[in-house]
Amino acid sequence: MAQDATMINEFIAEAREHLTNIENDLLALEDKENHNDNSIIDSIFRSIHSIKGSSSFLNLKKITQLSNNMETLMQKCRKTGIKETYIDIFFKGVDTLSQLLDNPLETDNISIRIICNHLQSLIKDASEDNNSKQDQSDEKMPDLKPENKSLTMFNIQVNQLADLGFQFDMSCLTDAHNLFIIRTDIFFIEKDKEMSFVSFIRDLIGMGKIIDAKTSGLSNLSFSDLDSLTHLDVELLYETSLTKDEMAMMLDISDGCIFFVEKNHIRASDIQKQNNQDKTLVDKPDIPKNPKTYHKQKIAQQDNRQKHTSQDDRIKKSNRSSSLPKYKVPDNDTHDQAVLKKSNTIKSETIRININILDKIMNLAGELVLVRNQQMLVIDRSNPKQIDISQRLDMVTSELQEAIMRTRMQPVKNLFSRLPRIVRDISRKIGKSIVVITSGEEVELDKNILESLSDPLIHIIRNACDHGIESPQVRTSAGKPETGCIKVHAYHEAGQINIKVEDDGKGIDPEKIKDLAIQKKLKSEKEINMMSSKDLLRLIMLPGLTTAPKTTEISGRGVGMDVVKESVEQMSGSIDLFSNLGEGTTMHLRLPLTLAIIPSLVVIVNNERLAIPEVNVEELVSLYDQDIYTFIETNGDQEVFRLRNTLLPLVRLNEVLTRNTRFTESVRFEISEKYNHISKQMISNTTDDNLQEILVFAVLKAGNRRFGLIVDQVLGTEEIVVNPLHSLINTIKIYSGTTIMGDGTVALILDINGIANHCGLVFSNVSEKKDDKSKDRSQSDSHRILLFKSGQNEQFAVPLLLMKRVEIISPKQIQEIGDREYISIEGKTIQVVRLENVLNVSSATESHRMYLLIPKQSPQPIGFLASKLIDVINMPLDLSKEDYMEEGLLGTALIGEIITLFIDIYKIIGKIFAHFQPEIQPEKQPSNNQKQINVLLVEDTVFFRRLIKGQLVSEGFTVSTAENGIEALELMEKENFDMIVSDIEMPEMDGLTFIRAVRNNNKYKKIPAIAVTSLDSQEDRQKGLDAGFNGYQIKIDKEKLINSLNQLLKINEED
Amino acid sequence: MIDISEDEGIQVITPQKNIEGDESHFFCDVLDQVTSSGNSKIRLDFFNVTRIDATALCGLLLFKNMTQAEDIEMVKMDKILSALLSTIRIC
Repeated sequence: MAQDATMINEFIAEAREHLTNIENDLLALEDKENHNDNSIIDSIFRSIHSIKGSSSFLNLKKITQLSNNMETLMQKCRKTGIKETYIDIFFKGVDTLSQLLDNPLETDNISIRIICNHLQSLIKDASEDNNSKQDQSDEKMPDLKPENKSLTMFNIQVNQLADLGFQFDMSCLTDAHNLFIIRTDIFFIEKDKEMSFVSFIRDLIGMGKIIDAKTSGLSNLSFSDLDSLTHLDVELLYETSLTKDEMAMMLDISDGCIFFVEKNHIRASDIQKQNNQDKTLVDKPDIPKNPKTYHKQKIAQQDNRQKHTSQDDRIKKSNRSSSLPKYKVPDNDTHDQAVLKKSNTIKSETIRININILDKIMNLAGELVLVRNQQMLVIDRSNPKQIDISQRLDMVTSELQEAIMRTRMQPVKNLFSRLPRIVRDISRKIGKSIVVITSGEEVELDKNILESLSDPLIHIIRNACDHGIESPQVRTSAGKPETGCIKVHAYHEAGQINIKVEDDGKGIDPEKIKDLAIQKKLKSEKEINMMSSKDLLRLIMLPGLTTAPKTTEISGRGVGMDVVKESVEQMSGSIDLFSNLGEGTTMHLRLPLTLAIIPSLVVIVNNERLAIPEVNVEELVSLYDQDIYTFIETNGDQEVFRLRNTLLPLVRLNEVLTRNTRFTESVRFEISEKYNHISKQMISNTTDDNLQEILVFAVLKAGNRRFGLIVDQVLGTEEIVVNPLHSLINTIKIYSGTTIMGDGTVALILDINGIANHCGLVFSNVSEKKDDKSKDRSQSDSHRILLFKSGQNEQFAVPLLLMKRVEIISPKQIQEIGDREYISIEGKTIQVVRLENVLNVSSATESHRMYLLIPKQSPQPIGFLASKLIDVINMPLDLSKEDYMEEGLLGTALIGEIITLFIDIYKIIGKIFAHFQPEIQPEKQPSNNQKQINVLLVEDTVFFRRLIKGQLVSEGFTVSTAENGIEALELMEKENFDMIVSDIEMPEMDGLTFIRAVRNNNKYKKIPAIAVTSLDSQEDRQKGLDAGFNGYQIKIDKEKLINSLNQLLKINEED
Repeated sequence: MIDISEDEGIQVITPQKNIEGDESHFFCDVLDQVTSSGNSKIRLDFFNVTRIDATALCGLLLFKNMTQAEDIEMVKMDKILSALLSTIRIC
């Protein structure tokens, strides 16, 4: 049969989906509780059956033969349940089918003989089992050998069919197809093949068309005879493209029951004669020639597995003799019509598209993005019409690009679903008990990335099974459960896909790695000693390094993790490793969502424009004037910058671009010396006033490692289309691709991992230790705090959460009006607040550059004047009120041994505006007839507890506080509250659990409750409302919180 | 269980589960009764049926051959089965 490539490809794609389903079902069946679960067995049966049917249609004999054997065995299992040995052979079958699907047209080198023999022996065993279970009184199966029947001719002429009692229209016969008479006993089919006759007919229809069917066994019987009826022959006139042998194999019946009908003797007179009989038994050919039709049928089959498909149309009513009653084939069958309608809808919703077409569309979208970028550059900004068109083009391009990207996205489930099978096979092979738990399967990734991720992920899983998880005996003696667990979790974070593979095995011993690396001369002792434990762990990604005591067929050759790392980095991703000895290992893969169009930071170095993928950029740091030469230090042979108490290695991109070989220790030393020398010169020759310089570096992350990349200038961000590197430069590892910028020039895209490797960056113990320390702290308690100075003496702090923005200003811009100061920024007038005017602190130090800290909420725009920004740090807000306290402060904390004053922005704002705006009182007193409202505030963070309490008290509420849900419930038993304000994320008992407990108690059911949290996604909001909160507010919008409280109180009063 | 009822002059036979084993013998008995009753309008409702065995199939073929009813409706029937009943002739 001539093969249509499209059909073959469709078949392969569908068959692979079926194989994945079969694998999952087999894994489910393996669970002892499911051994006899017929729904799973049926599901497997249907999948195998579909593969068999389609392969037979496409004449893929080996696939048909193997799937037929598998189907027969599965059919036997429907009665007996599945045995464990069967599962193994089914898995082997699936593997072989998968191999055959790699190239279904060339399967000569793949032998299926052994597996088919194995399957057949199991089928035989299963049949014997079944037979022994059957009632011994069952009558012997009828002998269907043709010599025992009236139909004795093996080759029948077509013009003899009428004599044999068949009625059909000759013009319906297709010359190219074979015609057969099949004689079968419907009772025999049911008992021997363990399938209903209807299913048998369905199989037949799947491979050809039934022209006519007749039986003579019922002619003289009455209903009462049916009780003892044990066989009934039915003869079918059947047309198919299959040969007799193929039919016997496909239908699993003796070829003695199939009789070939020769068509050569069809004569025009015969056709005429037949036409005159006016018998229209069938109307349409059964197997469509048109691939599209075939495809539709396939989709319908998949979507209506439980229902029967449009195939039924293939057997048509024959013209009944006039004596028969009017017989309604269910035209009025609304139920089935509904099913058909549904399947039609589904058909129109999905379509298979060749990936090449998608790639082409993607490339065109990329080109469009470039054109859009170019157009944005040449637009006449003074022409509003042009601006309007340009904005629309921008919007449409972005939406189009996003939509096209979506077409390429696939859920990681497609990859994760393979893991249980892999883990099962390995664990059996090495005698371990391992389960794999996957989550986040709905997360989507670009098809290319997903495909490239397959091998690295499988390698990691294999390693975890072989090296990570211990044998059951070792685990038991270590107090662990006998069964090891590998968790694979996918999630979105910061525009990247994160995949974590965690095992609870023995972990990796850094000391062992150290010794091995020195022993194998992969690193010098000096280098090893400088390394943090994390960097030591990363050494397992060096070629040739393995901690496995012996090489197995699964792993242990020291080849693999280096390939994994390389593969992940080729995808512009990164891999991190965490391990605790005796507890387990975690591999953390970070991957971009797509590789085609990415947002990037465009920088200039040596007058060349370069693009840095934005996923790698953490922040930009600017150093001004003297700071450029004083803040950059040298640590060994490397320049470093102390960023928030962490030593950040610095790389000068201009030096990287001019050196084409990997940096050695001496090169790094030479560079650091060079700039150290320049710094010294600059410091000695200049004063603060005459320097007007700026140095910018981008803090980049390569996995969990960070370094600063010094550039000449930052141009801004731009969406770029990634093009591959030309073969001449793709050996240079510091570039990952090229792109065309808006003005038509070509820019190179930097490979951040490549640059880190090129420079031989060492991430010192100092920085890592700091990281570890900061990670140990509870993330929910940690906040980003801006440290700044106003006067000479005090160091101030304010949570960044409360700030809108920071403006750099010159004191010359400040204008005095009365006793107040104002500044105009971008057309807006902002009142300048000097802290010395509201707090008992030293006066602001004047310099040519000062800062204005503009808070988020204020009745009128104000800004706090700062002389210097010190740092932004992450710290828990555990403030002390004992050391130093005055109104306008939240408290103090020791930061780097300096007492730091945390300013209470709202108190200060209250102070300032109370001065001239009498309606805003710091504290409202309830009027005599106004009821005192008791509010229960549940908040774990001291800072927010204090801040929100202050806000509520200032509005006249009485506030009691609790640190978590448990404490709050205890308090509620003692006091009566009119209102609850609660955080969500809290230790001991979180806000959601707390509010559910409140709502479950009839006594508290009606108390209005507002969640005040920093979780601002719609999903979080919905969770909060579902749990029982009446309102949901984001920290810390005082106005909204108070409005919300008042509204709820009003509603409650009305009720 | 096979429910037998009447709906506006139509005798309605509604098997309540798959027609297999003992149920198929019972079903054949019902068909026998229906055939003998001489009712001219019969509706067989297969809503609850997804499988029938060989005996029930024989019963249906026999019913189709023997009944004198003028109007037989077979609703919610598996279409393959429905088409099969239409195609097989009893010679």
